[in-house]
Amino acid sequence: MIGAGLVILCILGYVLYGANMARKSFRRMLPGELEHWLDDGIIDKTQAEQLRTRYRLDQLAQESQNVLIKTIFGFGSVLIALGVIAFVAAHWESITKMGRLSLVVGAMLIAYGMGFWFWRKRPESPLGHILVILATLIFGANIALVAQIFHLSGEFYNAVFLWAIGATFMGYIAGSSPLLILAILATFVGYMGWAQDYIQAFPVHFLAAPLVFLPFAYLKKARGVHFATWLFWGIGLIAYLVPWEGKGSPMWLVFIAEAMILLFWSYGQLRFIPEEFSSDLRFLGILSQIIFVYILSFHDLVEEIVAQPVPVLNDWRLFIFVVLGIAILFARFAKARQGVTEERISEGVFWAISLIMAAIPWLQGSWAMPVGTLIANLATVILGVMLFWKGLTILDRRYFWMGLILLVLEVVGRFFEYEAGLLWKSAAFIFAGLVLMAGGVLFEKRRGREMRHEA
Amino acid sequence: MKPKMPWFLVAVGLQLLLLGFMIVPRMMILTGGKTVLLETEPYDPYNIFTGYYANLNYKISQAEHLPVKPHLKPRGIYYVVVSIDKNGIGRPRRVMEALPRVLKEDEAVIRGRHEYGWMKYGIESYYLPESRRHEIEALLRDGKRRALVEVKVNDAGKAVIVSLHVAGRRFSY
Repeated sequence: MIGAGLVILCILGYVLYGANMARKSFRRMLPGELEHWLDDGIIDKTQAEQLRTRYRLDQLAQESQNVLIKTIFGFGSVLIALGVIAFVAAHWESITKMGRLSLVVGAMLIAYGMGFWFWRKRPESPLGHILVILATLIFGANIALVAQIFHLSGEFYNAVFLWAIGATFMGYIAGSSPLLILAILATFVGYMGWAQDYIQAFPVHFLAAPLVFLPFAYLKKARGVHFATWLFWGIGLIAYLVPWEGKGSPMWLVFIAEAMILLFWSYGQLRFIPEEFSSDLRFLGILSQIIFVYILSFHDLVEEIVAQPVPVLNDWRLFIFVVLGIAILFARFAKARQGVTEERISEGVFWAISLIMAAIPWLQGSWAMPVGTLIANLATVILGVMLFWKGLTILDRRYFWMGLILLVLEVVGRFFEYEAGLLWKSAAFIFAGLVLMAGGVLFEKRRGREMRHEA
Repeated sequence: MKPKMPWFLVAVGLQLLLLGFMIVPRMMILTGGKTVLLETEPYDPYNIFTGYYANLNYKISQAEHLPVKPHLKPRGIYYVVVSIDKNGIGRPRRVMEALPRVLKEDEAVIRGRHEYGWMKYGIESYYLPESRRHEIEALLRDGKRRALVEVKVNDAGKAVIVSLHVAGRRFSY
């Protein structure tokens, strides 16, 4: 149940990430509206022209065409890459080993050559960039082919790392965010595989991934690369510290989660961080907190945590407190936020919940479990309500849906946790579904009203 | 941003270099290495293939079957010295912690890593074309289900597979 809830949360969080399309939709609506305003005499031709220039309406058609072309080229290149990989997998004996190798290396070089040529000749077309990405995918197929030709039985993560090195280098040279994001994903998958052999691989990842990928994010102001780096960094941290095979304990999970939440949040508050990066880091901080409070809203886990003796701080995991120290240090240099009430309130709630949750492992005695569970559930509800309210007030879909889904999961989770009859469960589901739908309608209505107001 | 020609060439060159690092040392072993035939253990008929390759389990894969050996540490690198009989088949003679400096004329050394009671030599997979899989699977399953694997090894103990011998037939892909 917890797993399913988390998966839903993560997927929705990721899908809704950056989904604030209000401004884009507004631009698309504007040309039609302008005609009506002109007809109704609300604005004159000069004003209409000024608005057209301001919102670059003449570029709208080109932008939509670009999106269409990118999609077509993107799908095309994925199909070609799949074709090349299937060719490698087919292991066609009619061609010699070297013949096959020359063919696939040739395909890679042709794709690079054409990509480079298109990119230089027609920088406005996405084709050049997409061909370079395709060539890098074929580079991966080449690695697989060489492994096949020489019957290599090494670990798959070595091949993944090899590809990631080539892709990262090409990503930097070509200034390609999609390549860097693919390399981040590959590196993460590689470390997950490596860590199954050597658990020490994870700490290397925590250090190496930001060092390798963040310079690109900052140099190119690449928001996607920055977000992907920290997202997979966070998932890696969870994978490393969650006690999958009896390693670690749920109690330490509390400290780890706290450290991660505070680190993301405080780091996002640093003065030199661009605003959009800050916003993504705050988002990741909140996402971590949501996952954390939701996990602890299940009484089994709280019971396990409070059953353990009061934490003794002589463990190697002391590093978590070092992280906390760094987080606090970061916060010292926090940017002075302009007085946006919603931001200040949500920040207050965020810090309060973080502090209260950190107290749970210190609860002892017979009342510790019910009190701990109650605290975690209250924190879940308060966080859900705060996010729901914040999303609705600043019209940010990410926060709105995170809040609403957290509240719904809280209700559904409790119904499954405490032996409720099927009828009650059915009621909980119907209630949850209705709340979600009503929330969606409410948000869209409110946004539509704001957009009309803005227009 | 338009990529600049020299740097773009450097990036493509790096990828070719990475492929080269995979290819060249192995080509050198295939041309200059010593040939050894390694016996495989009988196959579990339900687990011959994983995806597109056959899993090879050698007689020298199970650490406890190896003669004259030091205490094998987890993940330790060891060198298995085999003596090659008149049929070309390599039989394990001793296990060393360091690369042996002197080998007899009829001896070869294979470098392996100890993992949970098993020695891994990096030659445990044999990739087969789609069209031959069923045929070879049937051959492996029949009879003694044993096969011989022809490998080339260099002086450093690095091994590369050359071919698979099953039921008197030689397959090389």
